[in-house]
Order: sequence, then C-alpha cells, then structure tokens
Amino acid sequence: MQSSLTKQHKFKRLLLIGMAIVLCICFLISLSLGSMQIPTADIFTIINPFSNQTSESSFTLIIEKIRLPRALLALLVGACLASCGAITQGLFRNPLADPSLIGVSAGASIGATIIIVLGTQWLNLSDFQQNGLGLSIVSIGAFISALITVLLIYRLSTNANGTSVATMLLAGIAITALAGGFTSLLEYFSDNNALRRISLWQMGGLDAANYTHVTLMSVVVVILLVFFKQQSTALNALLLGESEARHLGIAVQKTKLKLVILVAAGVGISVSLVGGIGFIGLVVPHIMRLIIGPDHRFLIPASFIAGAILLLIADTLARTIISPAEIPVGIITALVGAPFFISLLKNRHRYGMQEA
Amino acid sequence: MSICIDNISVNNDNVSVLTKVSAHIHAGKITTIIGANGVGKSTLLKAIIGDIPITSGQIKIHEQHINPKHNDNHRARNLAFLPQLSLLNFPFTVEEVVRLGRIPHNTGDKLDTEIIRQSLATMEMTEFSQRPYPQLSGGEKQRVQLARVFAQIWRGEDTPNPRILLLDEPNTSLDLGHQQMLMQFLQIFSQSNIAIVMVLHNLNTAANYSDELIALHAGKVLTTGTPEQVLTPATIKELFAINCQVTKNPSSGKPVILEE
Repeated sequence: MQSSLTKQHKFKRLLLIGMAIVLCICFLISLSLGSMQIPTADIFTIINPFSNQTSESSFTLIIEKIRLPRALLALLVGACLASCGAITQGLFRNPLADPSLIGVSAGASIGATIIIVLGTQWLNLSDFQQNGLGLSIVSIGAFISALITVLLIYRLSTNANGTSVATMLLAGIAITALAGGFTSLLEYFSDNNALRRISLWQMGGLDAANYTHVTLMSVVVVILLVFFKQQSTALNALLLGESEARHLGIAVQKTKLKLVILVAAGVGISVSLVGGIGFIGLVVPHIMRLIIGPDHRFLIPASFIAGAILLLIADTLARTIISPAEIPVGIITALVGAPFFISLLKNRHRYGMQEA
Repeated sequence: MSICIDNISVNNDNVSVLTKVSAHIHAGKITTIIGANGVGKSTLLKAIIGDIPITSGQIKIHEQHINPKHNDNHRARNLAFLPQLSLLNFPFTVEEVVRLGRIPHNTGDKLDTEIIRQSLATMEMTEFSQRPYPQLSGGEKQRVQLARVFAQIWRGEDTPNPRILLLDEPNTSLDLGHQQMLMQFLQIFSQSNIAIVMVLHNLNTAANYSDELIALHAGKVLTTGTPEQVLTPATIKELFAINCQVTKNPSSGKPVILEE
C-alpha cells in the first residue's frame, strides 16, 4: 500500500508536469496563430527579455501589443475560473456546483448593465473609454455589484450558528433571479446600441486585454493559489461534512468565509474584466476530478492548469475561426463545454459518481 | 475521569431535549447509551463533541470545559466522533477517506499509511483500499467510516490525554458477523486506555460488550450502572413499553433479554 500511494502521487505529479508542458505549447501556438501567422522562432526572439533585438517590426508589435497580453489574460482568467470552480464544488459538497452559484456572475451582470445603460445612453459616456488605470467603467461597475451581491447572499445565509451552504445555494438562486429581473428591466428600456453592448458583454470576450488587466489578474491568481494551497486539506475534510471537518480540528467557519471571499474576488474580477465566460468553472474541475481524483492538493493545481489551457484554446479559436473578425469567447466555451458536460452526465456512473 | 457531564440541559427551539443529565465516563471502559427513539441519545453525544450548545450545566473533557465554537486541532487528536449518517459523495478511494482521519496529526505519510493499513484491517476492508468510496454498499461505507475514526485516535503517543471515541449507532447496516467483529475490536481498543461512548439499539449487544449503561428516558437519565444493574424487566418496560424476561447468557454470564 505504501508503494501504491507513492505511485499514485508520482502519477499525479507527472500528470501536472505534463499538463504544464501542454500549456506552454498552447501558449506558443496561440501567439503564432492569427490573421497574420508568426513563426515560432520569431516569437522566441520577441518574448525573450534578454534578446538584444530591438527592432519594431510588425511581428513585434502584434505580439507585444495584441497577442501576448491577450494570451496571458486568457490563461490567467481560465486558471482563476477553473480553480474557483474546484473550490466552489468542494465548499458546496456538490460536484456540479459552479462559482456563479454564489451570485457573482449575476451581480456582475447587473452592474455592467447599469453602467452600459445609464452611462452610455443617458450620460453619454463611452463605456469602453478607459480611465488612467486602463480599466473600463463597465469593469469597475461589474466588480462592485458582484461584490455587493455576494455579501448580500453571504449575510442571508449566515446566522449565529454559522454559514449554511445549503441556504447559500437557495439565496444564490433567489438573488440571481432578482438580478436577472433587474437586468431584463434595464434592457427593456435601453436603446438598440446599448442592447447590443449588453449582449456582447454577457457573451464575454478577451479583445480588450491590456497589461493592466494582465497585472491585476496575475496578482489575483497568485493570491488565490497561495490561499487555496493552504486550504486544500481543510477542503478535503469538508467533503465529509461540516461537523466531521470540525471534529478533525478544522476551523470550519473561518475556512468557509475565507473561501467565499476568495472565490467572489477571483470570479468577480475575472467577470468584470472579460464578461461572462461560462462552463470553465463547472466543466474543468469536474473533468479533472475524474482524472486525478477529488484530493484538493492535486485537484486545485490540475484545474488551474487545465482551465488555463482550455480558455487559451477557446480564445485562439474565437479569434481565428472567422479571422479577421472574431467570435466572443463565451460562445465558444458554451458551445464546446455544454455538450461535453452533457456527455459526462450521461456517463457519470462510470466515474464513480453517485446518483444523488 | 475522561468526560464529566454535570447536570446539563439542552433545548432545541425551546423544546427541552435533555434535562439535568449527569454522567461520568471513564477511560478504558465502554459506556453505552440506550433508550427509545428521540429520547436524546444522539443529542447527548453531540453535546459532548460540542456540535450543539448546552443550555445549562457543564461538560468537562479531561478537566477542561468544552467550547462549541472552538474545536481545535489539539482536541481532534484525542477525540473522534462517528455520526449516524455519512454524506460523502465524492469519489475518494477508501484509503483516502481513512487518511482524512489523520488530518489532526503531523505524523508523516509513511506512518499514516501504516496506521491506515492497520485500521482498515480491523474492519476487514484491506482489499477495498483502492475502491471508490461512493461505489461501496452501505455496510462497507460504515466500515470505512469506522476505520477513519479509529485512525484518528490510533496511537496513544499522539496525545497526552486518554483518547475518547464517540460512536452513534456504529452497528447500523453491518451484518451479524461484522457487528461481532466490531464489538470485539472495540473491547480490545478500549483496553488501551480509550473511553468509548456509543449509542446502541440492540440491548443484547449492549449487555454483552458494555462496562456501563446509561438509560435515557424522555431526556432524563433513568438509571446508570453495569448491564446487570440496568437491564431489569422493570427498567426495560419503562424505557420501551414492552414486557420481557431477562435471563443469563450461559457462556458469558451477561444479561439476555427475551421478548414476550
């Protein structure tokens, strides 16, 4: 048994390393593909900070100004959404839970809609106008309302005995419905131009990527990784049940609060920057659990890397399929993710999932 | 004395569940709580572990007050609890589930693996160690959960205080053979200075393996003592409203209840 455990851990570590290598390859391919093909050799010269070449060729411009920040943002957002999904599924002890359950997406959506409708229609602001920080006011509005929504849901589900994740799920559904109603109401009173912008925002896209976004997401992702790593044993214990985790010496209430805040911040910032990108947070951790098992010490890094790979591929497809035009990446993830997920549901007995 | 329960009352939504319950639980002994459905047997266990707040009175474990809000790592090293229902729905392997029991300890993978192997062996689950937990039958799941709580308090060296094991109906869904195996193991386990407190419904099993019985009736302690002292026709009639005879088991000399 000693050897079987070591073997399993070795296999899981190898798998993680393999996935990281695949991620690097996808990253290079993503940089080279586009309306203008760029040879990989040139990419190495351009992204190598120690190279002496300072030529401002068109290749350098395309890579540095457009493709590099976009590819980086795609992998960071993908990693963030997928690892937050893994955490949410553990926290709710439900392998089909999604980060949007705690109301982040609906909250962000209502904020973005308010800004687009009020700001552009009535105050005549340009919603894609960037302020000094390089963030659009739509992003800021989306983030603030996402945060308010999560706090509201958290308050609703917390009483003197602690936070009930079951209540949180129901409160999340209720608040999501409410936010959806408000969003529809605003859409009903908005003009065609605003409607189109709202709908584009909801489809999600990485076309506005810049280095401010990349820096912000990097900071978020590093913080998430550090905390998630700390909490992975606690999450394993939580799968047994909250009382059982407490009996194993886990500070359950503190852990839940920390994780909800981290997921809210991670998903909130992602959604604010790139709009609604569905299915990554649901599908990726689910698939990874089937491959690498439910142990969060491996599941979180695996989801992290797989999420990065998936969104990177999806975004590369989004901007190359009908190049030079592009499709919002949220459409790709939904069109690919949903059928895949349905096939998982149909075969779930094969993966040891219970018919619950 | 491992656990001192002093005059505790527990209310749930203003309905009294336990009233002025007192009991002393000793290391090295098996104490069994008996009584009809809903008299507060599980509530008493949950009050000891700190899952539900007590309205009045006090519980001390190793001379220290329990604090429901603060169930720390230190406590988890010598106090393990098996609840009635297990909700685990994620495809952990059997071995991984038992390994969760080692979370409070920092004893390293190698030693933990050995402890897991031994505790799985006591429940005859060794060959299941790599099977996904959700695919097991109800009785097999129960044996894995038992192995998990055994692993949590496996070694006396891991804690300065005597260890305590609380089991809520550990026999549920076990077949007769595995029930006997479990009870015989608990007897041996308790002898290494472990206080075992459990809830059982089968009075003959309780009589056969317990050192002490606590009979609960309507949230109060009706009587406590050895199986011989507690299991009289009069007490059983009061507890369960049935008529019965009590004889002696010819081989063990313990009381046997014959229903009429």
